[in-house]
Amino acid sequence: MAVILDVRNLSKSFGGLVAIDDLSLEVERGTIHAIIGPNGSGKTTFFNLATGLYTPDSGEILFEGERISGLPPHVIAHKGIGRTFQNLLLFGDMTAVDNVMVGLQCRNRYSLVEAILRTGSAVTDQMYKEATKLLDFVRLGGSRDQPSKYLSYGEQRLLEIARALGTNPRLILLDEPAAGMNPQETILLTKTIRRIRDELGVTVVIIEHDMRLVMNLAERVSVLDYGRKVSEGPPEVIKNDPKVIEAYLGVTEE
Amino acid sequence: MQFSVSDLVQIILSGVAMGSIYALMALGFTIIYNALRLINFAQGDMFMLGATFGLTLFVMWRLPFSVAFLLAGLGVAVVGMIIERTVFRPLRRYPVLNLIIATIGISITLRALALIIWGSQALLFPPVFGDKPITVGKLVLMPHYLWIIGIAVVVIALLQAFFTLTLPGKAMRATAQNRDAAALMGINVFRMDSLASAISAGLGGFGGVLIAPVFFVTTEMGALAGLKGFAAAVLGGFGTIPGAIVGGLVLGVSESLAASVVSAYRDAVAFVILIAVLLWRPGGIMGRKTR
Repeated sequence: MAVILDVRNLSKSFGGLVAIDDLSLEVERGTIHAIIGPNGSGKTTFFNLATGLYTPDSGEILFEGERISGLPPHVIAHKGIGRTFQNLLLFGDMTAVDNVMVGLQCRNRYSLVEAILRTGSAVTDQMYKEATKLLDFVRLGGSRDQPSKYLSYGEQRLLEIARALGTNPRLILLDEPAAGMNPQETILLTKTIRRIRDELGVTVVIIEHDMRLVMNLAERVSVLDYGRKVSEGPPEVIKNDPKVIEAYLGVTEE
Repeated sequence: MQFSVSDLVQIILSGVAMGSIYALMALGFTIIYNALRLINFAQGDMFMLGATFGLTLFVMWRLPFSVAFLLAGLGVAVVGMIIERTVFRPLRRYPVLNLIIATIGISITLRALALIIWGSQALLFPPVFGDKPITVGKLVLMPHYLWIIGIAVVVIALLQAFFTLTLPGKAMRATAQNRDAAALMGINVFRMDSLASAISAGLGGFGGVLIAPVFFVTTEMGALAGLKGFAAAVLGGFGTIPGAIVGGLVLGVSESLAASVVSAYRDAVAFVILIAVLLWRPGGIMGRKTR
């Protein structure tokens, strides 16, 4: 299987704090790959590096064989990486469908004047239909015209996923998508994530604390602690790895 | 003092006309604030540039007023874009206060340049909207006020359509609400800054060229216009588009009513109203009730 995301010796520190420490990691195309680790272990920092919000101090990230680290976020988005945020960053005053439309415009590269002239044309009609389809995909079709800030927490998380899918990514990075969801919502989310990979063919990297969800969903798990990778493998191996248990529970003096 | 109905209509009409100009100025402040989080002290000078550009195009180059109007507004928009590229963008990595101070520098520079080009004399802009009052029944109306209101309504409607209907408009709103998320949706946020700066300057420019046929054109005319536009934006609720429009109209009408009673205090009255409203509602008329 081909590697879609290749992280090589990545490091990033903030002042004296080392957030990512010589991290190397490969994500295979077509997998659901989970990244777990205690709070502050550098998971979100890794996402921020992969999407261009931060530039690494050293090391590099290759997406489909092409170096992306150091590029600005909108260029990386155009190359095919979508993401959601741990602390929900929706466009709150805009309706659900408009949020997805903003994502969808990533698919076209019109100049400003062209884009304005196409208002109300077949192209924007097509985008509206596409946005509606993505909302249906995450089962939010009924909330299409609601301002996104009025949606429930779980719905907002699903809307973020639909918006990220709008950019037509080949790789999607989900940052704690189950946080704040009730058990029913989590079950629906698990199904939705699986459908993203199976039906849309998008590779998924997921940061998640809900271990049941990770064990159910992921084919491969990387464990971070203090910005380093301490373990990696299929979930059933990770579950019993003493290093992982140590990272989460601390080491006992014997 | 007794007012006839006709007097009152005229006072309100002139208030609404001035209010539309303030609304254009206030929208200029709002749009650049939403994009770059800065108060642009050079906004008043965009107004001045609109008037002086209009004067050059219409009086010296003898272009039709409609063409001069459009070119003046677009010309000021280009100035706004150049300012964003050369000043705001390089300063973006510093605290926003540096940008705000830079806008004061831009303002001084533009006024000095304008003084060199157009001189210190007040220049007369011919009354293109006609100077003969129109009589409708008992009402006597000045045509330029109707033109100003009409054109301002069209400009604001186009702006509203841009923000709600077009994709670049949605992208700009998205960027204003969350810059990082917008960038990750593939939006070139720097291009949005440039566009916001251009639109904001262009609105000031349209305001200036609209008012030019009513007042004299001077290189210092931007100072008070900028202050009134800022006051209107704060009065309506800073950072919101409906707030800028309402704030502009409320300021224009109340100023006009006040001036008809005590004309010497016209400008003072505007700011007294501003302070009174802000004591009552710190967030402005359309703003949030609590801070």
